[in-house]
Amino acid sequence: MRLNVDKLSFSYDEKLILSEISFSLQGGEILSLLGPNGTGKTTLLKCINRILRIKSGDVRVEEDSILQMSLQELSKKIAYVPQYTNAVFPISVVDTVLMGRTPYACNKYSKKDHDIVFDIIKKMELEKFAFRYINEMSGGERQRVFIARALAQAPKIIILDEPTSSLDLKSQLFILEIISDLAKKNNLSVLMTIHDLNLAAMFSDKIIMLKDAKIFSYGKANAVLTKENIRIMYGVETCVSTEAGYKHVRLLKNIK
Amino acid sequence: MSKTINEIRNNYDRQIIKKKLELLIALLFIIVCGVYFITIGIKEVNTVQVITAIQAWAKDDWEIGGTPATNKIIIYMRFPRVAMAFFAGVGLSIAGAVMQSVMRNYLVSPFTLGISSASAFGASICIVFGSGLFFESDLGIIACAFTTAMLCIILVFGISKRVDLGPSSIVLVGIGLNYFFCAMTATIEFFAKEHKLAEIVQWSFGSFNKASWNEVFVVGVVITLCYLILTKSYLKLNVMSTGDDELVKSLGVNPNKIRRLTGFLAVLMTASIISFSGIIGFVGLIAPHIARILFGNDHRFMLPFAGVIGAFLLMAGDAIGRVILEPVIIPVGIIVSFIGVPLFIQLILSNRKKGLW
Repeated sequence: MRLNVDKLSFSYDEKLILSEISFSLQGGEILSLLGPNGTGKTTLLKCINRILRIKSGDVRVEEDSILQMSLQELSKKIAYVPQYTNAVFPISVVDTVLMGRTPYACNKYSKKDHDIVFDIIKKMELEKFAFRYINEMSGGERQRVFIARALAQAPKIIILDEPTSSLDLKSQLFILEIISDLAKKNNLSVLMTIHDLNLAAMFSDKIIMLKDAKIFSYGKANAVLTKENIRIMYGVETCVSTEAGYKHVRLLKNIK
Repeated sequence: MSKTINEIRNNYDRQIIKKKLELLIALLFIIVCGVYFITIGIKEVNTVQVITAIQAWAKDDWEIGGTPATNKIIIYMRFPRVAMAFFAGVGLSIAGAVMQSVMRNYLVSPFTLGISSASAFGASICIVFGSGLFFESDLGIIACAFTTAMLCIILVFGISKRVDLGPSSIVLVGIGLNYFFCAMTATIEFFAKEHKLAEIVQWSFGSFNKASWNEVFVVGVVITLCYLILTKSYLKLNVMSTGDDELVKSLGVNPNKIRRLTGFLAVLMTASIISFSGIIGFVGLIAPHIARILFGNDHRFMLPFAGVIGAFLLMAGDAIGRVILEPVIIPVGIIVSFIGVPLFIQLILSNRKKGLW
């Protein structure tokens, strides 16, 4: 098992945000976290990446508990692509991707670091942006750069917090196709939060629906994305059909 | 790898080599400037006399060149003054650059955290209330200014730690303490006798009038050691300056640890400089900005370039201050602001037009 989350709980002061969350993820799998705003999706990602300290439970990456790892060791196993990156002092695309080698570089990037980074720049088709500053790029291009930086960490697991938010339709598909391709070819495990149920259905192997700090539903995309589950989770009526082998959700109305 | 990616890589390697060469040229330029600035002053000397004086000093034979008085003026007055300006410029600029990066804020310098007002408070206490051999000497002022500056930073980090040690809380606590120490200094000034008040004001202008080789040695050692330690954190500083703490952690870097270490080094450099020279604030803000605009935000190059720019600004400012209203010496802090601000605004405007910054 690549990632094993076991009875993870987290609270801000007295308020319980996550209660006994358990799931697992294999290599090459994509797992999407779904749920309305404020259900703890991002908090769960941050707990798994040890940005937040979990209250109880454990997270294991290939049998090693993340609680026993140093930040440097952890960053070689799990890479994180946050929802927003506010670069106050921007640098070029090459330097941004090179930053992904920080866990491996002592105080200087080696030839191997450069080899890996330029290979990733090529894979991610970032050649023409290589020397551009990241604050001069569009949202979709920037997201590709941040995914490239995550890949430069040579992780086993990539965590993405709403990778398609604020992107246009073409960019959304492009980014998710890249993620799906990377997961399959590199045997990467991908854990992401996403709001678009149709995109989640198309690109996820498994889905978790979070509600009231707990897992409401967990399983294969086609089994989880049902009209009934969506009604309870989001309080909306939908029409759920199957198109080209994927579940397709059409929004109908709010439930008053 | 395809040809295109090879070309990109070669281009990147060429950029790195170009920056290294530019840095080497900048260092040579600053040495040439240093020699030139030694020649400037009330008593004009030429470059040959400077070299002769250095030879006389090295051989401990002041009669070389037949002008022992000139040799001693160059070695004991001009040279330490320029060397002090060099180290102060390097130290204040690098400290400013580091603080901006770890706080992720363009407007931060060590002085934002109350260092200048704290050391002014320390110096004021010594000047006004000092008694006895030690506390009435320059050494006493230096010791008091340094101690209060370090006390200030301990308070800043100590109080911010109670919240989260995040950039915003550190800056806010620093600003608060800045006003506190300003008020304390103003209270002392209010009750001080006129000649003591004049001495405080004179100290707060900041100048290298009292620079000696002993001071240069102390400041030089502190700046060099701090800089050497900072060079071990170049990559971590890059990570710190381009993303928030969550991203920094996910790249294997502990943001609070880096902020504490680099913040302490920046403050140590600043406190050691201003306790000898008085308050020279502006260069710590402007030199890093100029370096960022001209050479980018990669700390491997930005930090040394900021140091060179800061050194040039202070050396040039001090030289201009010595001759512009001869025989009156205008404090270097005033001159640096006059030459630095127009240059700074021009750079910002030109880069904003190009959309680069």
